[in-house]
Amino acid sequence: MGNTSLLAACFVTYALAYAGMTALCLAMEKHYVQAMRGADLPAGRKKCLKVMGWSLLALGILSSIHGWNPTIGIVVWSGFVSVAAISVVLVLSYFPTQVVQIGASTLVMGLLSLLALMLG
Amino acid sequence: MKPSRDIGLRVLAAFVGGYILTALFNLVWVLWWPGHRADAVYYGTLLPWTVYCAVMIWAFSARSAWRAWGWIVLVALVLAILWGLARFVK
Amino acid sequence: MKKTFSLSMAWLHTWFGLYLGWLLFAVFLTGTMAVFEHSITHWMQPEASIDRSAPLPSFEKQLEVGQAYLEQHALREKGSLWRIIPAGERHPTLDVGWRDKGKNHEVALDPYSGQEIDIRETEGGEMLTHFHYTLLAGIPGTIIVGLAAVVMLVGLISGIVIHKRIFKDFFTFRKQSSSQRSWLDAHNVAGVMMLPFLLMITYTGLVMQPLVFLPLGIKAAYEDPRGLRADAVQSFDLPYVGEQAALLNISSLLPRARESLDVVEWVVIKNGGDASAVVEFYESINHKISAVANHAAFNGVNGELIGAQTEWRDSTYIFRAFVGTHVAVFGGWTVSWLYFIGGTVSCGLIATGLVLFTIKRRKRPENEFGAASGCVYRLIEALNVAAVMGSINAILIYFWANRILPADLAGRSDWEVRAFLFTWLASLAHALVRKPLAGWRDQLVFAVALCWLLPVYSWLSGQPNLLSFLQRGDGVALGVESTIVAFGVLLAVAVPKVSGAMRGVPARRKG
Repeated sequence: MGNTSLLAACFVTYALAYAGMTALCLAMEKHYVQAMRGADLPAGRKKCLKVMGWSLLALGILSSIHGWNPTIGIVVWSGFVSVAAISVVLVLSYFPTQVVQIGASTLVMGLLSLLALMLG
Repeated sequence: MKPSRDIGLRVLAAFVGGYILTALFNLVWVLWWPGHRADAVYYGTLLPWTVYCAVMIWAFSARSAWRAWGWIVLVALVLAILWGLARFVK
Repeated sequence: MKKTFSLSMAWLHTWFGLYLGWLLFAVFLTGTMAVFEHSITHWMQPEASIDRSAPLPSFEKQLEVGQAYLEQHALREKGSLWRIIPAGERHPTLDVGWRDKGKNHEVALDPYSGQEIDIRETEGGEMLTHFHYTLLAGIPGTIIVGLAAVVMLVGLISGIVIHKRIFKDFFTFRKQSSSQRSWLDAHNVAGVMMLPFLLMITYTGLVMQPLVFLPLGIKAAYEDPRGLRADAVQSFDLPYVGEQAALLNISSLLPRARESLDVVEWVVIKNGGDASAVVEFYESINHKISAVANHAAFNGVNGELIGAQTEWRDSTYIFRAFVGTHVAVFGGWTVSWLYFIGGTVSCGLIATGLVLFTIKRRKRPENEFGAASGCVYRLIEALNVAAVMGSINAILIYFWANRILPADLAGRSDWEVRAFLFTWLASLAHALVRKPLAGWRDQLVFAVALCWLLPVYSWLSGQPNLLSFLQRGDGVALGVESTIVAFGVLLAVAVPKVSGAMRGVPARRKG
């Protein structure tokens, strides 16, 4: 694996984990209120965020297995999930109102890089 | 019992009793393993530390220090019998 | 002992966490450093930092250079174990070595010119690794670390039991709340997020030392514990004959070695120069978790393949997977950095735990030590400072000693280690003299200064530094030194918080 594609694979794994963790975080009533300045979390959206969060985590595991190999991929993925979860906590407590924007833009960049990796 | 003695006995149970059970568990595992001795040793290294943790937690959650020690001695005896049996059989 | 299971676990977590936390912090911090032990060693040998802008000579070429050096300099004796480790991405020098009466002799060569590099005497990053699992006290030290590791596992389990709100508080960090609350949140978040890493690293650390921790089991199966290794690793040695014979060109064997091996990383020559010479190629273990190196051995005189081991017992493979997961040689820089971050956060977990103990009691003394409580709390505060800041400063002073001590000083590496150990004592003494918060602040500021001034000192004293590493394209040394500077930033963030606490105001409030 070249240096560029290695960095891209790292970024994709991290970005998907970060976006997934952000979705799971927003699926929790108290953090949704924090991030959306007091708006209520509708039940439908809660479910939607949960499904999205778990599927992004699952997508992340697939892409890291693809980028490394099944065993190392799982280690790398779980490492990035931990780091991503801590980043979400930090963003949530220092920039609560930007949680959604940062999460969404990370998701878009992550998916674009994933696409680039698969095509290139 | 004086609280300090109670705690002292529990700390001993946790560390010493814990190690005795861990080592005996490992020993009995190795001796009773049906296959090759290298497999016995290598697989035998993987699980004993859960025993150590369990004993340490037990030592501090048992109702009294004596009760904690009682069970440790009992389990140690069972393991020791298994150890003796293994030597007798093989 | 307490009324409920959960209260018992809280007691256990508090006291075992406190008493062994002091030791565990040092063990985790040095373990975190150990991830980059070879990088640190390279940084501590600035003489070996050569211009790396040109591409490295081929593996074959480096083998030839290494072989020529060994044939000229190495001891030719029974059991002489020659080694050639060509330079690569993470390994900037071409290293050769041999065994001289049971002692290892190592020489670093410039991979471009083949010239011997005169390197200052240092134990480098290996000292930190060694401290990590022996406390520099041999087998008793390993046993102490092992007991601390069991306590760590129990601390994790009891932590889960008393936390209770793992999922509800998964993302909760209330930085604006009372300082005790936010310390507890930080402790919980670090513990929960790193739980998989913490369980893995602690458990595998215990599993990987069966010879020390579980000798009875091995002795029950093997009269000589070396038999275990013999059952696991195939040996292709030839009996020593004592007749001189020319060693063939090792690099000519590479194509055939590559028929059984994937990426060859290093070579061992047994009985070099003798008619019984054996050349053994070892595969890189970078691509798999299990730390078993496939190897292929050739007759060093006529070049016949003696044998190759590419298959392992399942049990060996699984056991070595535990070892491999701990030492993290696989996965390149990505995994190293992830382990480094994991280790750093784990250190934070232990440090916040230690601080919590005193913060709680500063607010509401529990008089656990009767009339002496005040004195004992004071002592605990000082030990906390010495455990956390003392460990950090000890490592930084170790790095500084490496740059300050004259390169040709006799017993140089011992002086580096003494500086490392002495710093701990000095840190404790300082923490005992100063008021607790002042102790924290002083030592934090000291550590920040050590981190930031290190490149400046190297530059002023005419030694390699950030700039020269950059110019030479020495990414490894550059990475180490910039990480030290970045670590200074991390520590600097804590300084205003401690100063704020000293003035009696909670950490700066925002939003």
